[in-house]
Amino acid sequence: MLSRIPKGLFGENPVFRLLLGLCPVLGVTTTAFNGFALGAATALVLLLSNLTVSLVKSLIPGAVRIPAFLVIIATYVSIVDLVMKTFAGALYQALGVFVPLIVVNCLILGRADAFASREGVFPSILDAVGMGLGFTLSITLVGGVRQILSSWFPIFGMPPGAFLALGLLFAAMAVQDGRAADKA
Amino acid sequence: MNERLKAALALILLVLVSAGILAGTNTAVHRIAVHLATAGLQLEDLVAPFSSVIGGDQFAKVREGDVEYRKVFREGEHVGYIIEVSSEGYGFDPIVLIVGAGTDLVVTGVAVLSHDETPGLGGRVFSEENLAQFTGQGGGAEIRFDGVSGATYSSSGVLSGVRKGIGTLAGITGPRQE
Repeated sequence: MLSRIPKGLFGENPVFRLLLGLCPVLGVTTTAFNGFALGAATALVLLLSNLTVSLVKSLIPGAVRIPAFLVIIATYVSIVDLVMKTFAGALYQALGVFVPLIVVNCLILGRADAFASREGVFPSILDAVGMGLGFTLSITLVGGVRQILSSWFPIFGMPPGAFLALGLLFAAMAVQDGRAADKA
Repeated sequence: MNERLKAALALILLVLVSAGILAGTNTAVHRIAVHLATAGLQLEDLVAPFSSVIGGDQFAKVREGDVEYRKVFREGEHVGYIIEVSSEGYGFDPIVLIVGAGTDLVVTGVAVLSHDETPGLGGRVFSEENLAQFTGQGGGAEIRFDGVSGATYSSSGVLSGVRKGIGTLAGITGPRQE
C-alpha cells in the first residue's frame, strides 16, 4: 500500500510515465515557482477528490460515475479557485486560466476512475499523495529547466519552448531507460 | 424505482450538495476577505488610490442627494473631483473604479478598486497603459476607449463606468461645465 508513494513519484510518474495532465505542464512552466504553485493546487484537488470518491463510491450508481466524479472534482477546484483568488491574488493572476482548468486535468479524473472508485479510503489517499507529489515534482522540474534555459535561449520562455523542454526531458528519460534495459 | 431514475436522482442530489457547499464557501471567503481588508485599512491606503488619479492634498467627501463624491483640493484650491463608480463587466461582481477629474471635468486618471474579470484576459483591461487612455478625455467631449480584443465585456464595462462617472459629475456641477 505504501508503495503507492514511490510509484507515483517514479515508476508511475503521472507526467513522464503515464503522460497525464500535460496541459498545465506546458502552459504554466515559464518559471519553476509557477509550475510548483499549480502542481500544489492540482495535488490538493487530487487528494480531496480521491478521498471523497473512495468514501462515496458505493453511493454513486454506475451509469453516472463519470459525471459524478466531475461534479466532485469541479466543486473542489471551485473552492481552490475562490480561495486563491481572494488570498493569493498576484499568484492567481500569474496562473490565469490554468487554475479553473485543473478540472479537466485528466490525472485527477483518471485516478478517480482507475483507483479511488475501486479501492479503500487509505490506499486512495496514498495514491493521491504519491501522484500529487510526482506531478508537482515533474511540473516544477519542467519549470526549472525552462526558466534556466531561457536565460540562454529565450525560446524556452515561450510556448514552443514548453514542447521543446518536455521533449528533451522525455528523450533524456528514454536514454536512461535504454541504459537500464541494457544492464538488465 | 427503475435504475435510470435512481441514477438521475443521485446525480441531482450530488449537484445540489455541491451547490450548497460552493455557496457556503463563497459567502465565507467574502466575509473573511472583507474583514481582513477593513481591519488592515489605514488612512494612507484610502488616500493612495486617490492620489494616483488626481493630485491633491485634501479629499473632502460630499453628498448631494443620493450621490456621493469627493472634492479635491490642492493647497486650499479646488482642483477637481473623485467619484467611485460601479459598472457591469464580464464577471459576477461589478467593476469598481475611481475616476478623477478636474473642475473642467476632464479626466485626470482612472484606477480600479475591485473587479471580477478573468485574470489574463479581461484583467488586461486594467493595465496602466489601458487606463491611461482616459486621461485627458471628457470635458464635454465623448469619451472613447480602445478596448482589449477578446475582452469585450470587460472593456465596455470600464468605458461605461468612466462615462457614468463623468456624466454624474457633470450633472452635479451643472451648467458651469459647459
